[in-house]
Amino acid sequence: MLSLAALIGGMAVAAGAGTTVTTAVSHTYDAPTDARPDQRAIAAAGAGESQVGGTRNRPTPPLAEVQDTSTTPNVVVNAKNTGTDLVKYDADFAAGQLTSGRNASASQLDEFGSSQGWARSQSETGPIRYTDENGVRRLTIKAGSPRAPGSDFPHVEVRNVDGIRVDPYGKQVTRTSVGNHTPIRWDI
Amino acid sequence: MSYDTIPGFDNLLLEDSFVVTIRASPARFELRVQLVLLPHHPAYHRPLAGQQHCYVFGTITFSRVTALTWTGQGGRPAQDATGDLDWGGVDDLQATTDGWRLEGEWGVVTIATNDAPTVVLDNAEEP
Repeated sequence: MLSLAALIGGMAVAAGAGTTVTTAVSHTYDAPTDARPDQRAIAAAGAGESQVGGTRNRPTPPLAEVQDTSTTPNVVVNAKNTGTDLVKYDADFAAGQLTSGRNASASQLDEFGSSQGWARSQSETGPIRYTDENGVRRLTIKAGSPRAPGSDFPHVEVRNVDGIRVDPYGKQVTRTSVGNHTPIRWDI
Repeated sequence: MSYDTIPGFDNLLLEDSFVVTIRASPARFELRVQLVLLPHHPAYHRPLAGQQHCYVFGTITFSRVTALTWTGQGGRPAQDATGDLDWGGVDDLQATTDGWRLEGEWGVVTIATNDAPTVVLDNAEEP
């Protein structure tokens, strides 16, 4: 069985390659400095070449009307390597990945909610709930009631970051719909 | 005592029902609920297409209340695809020595009363 860590790790990779990643990390892009060498320095050197970032570049001659008007400081800053920055994945996407197979276990969901930093709560007889930092009950993990034929199956109810009920595919659903009752395996 | 021994509650599934309104007033406490009916309930019908259970709106009322506490308030209601808001189900409804105790994601309510709660379905006679 695929471990939760592997599953979540896979989701992070998938999210990183997709379009659902939230841009929690800001990057500094220094291209304007590199791409616009100081034209006054170029003119003073008289050679038409400049040293930028350790590489000799041949800049395009400036238009006559903008010569001697550049405000770009004559500072060389290399672009930063951001390839190893952590990118936070979309929790809604990850929850969908976990439940869309309709075979997630209660313990997997329990661990998933915990890994998001959401607050866990459970009364003596009630379901397990995970509440995010904005007070949204993101996961409600229910064991099901043996009193109810057809309702004795464990299931999870999922809400997105806006507090709207969604199915495993992120589609908004009504509270009474089958999509709001995603089957899970109960193993806790 | 669990709620399924209260007359009128034996064929309800409060855990999977949806509380839509909570109203506390002097001597009275009411929950407006989209109730799940179990197959032996007289008003039961097959679940509508795409729905998980048989749902019917109704009101649960506690009368002649002499004291009430409500803790755990402040959570956010859920919203669904139609824009309707709800407060989740009733996780627990139990008798106490002087009344009743209810719990859900909307909080914990303890009620002092000598009367058992009643449930009235919309378009139905009181049991």
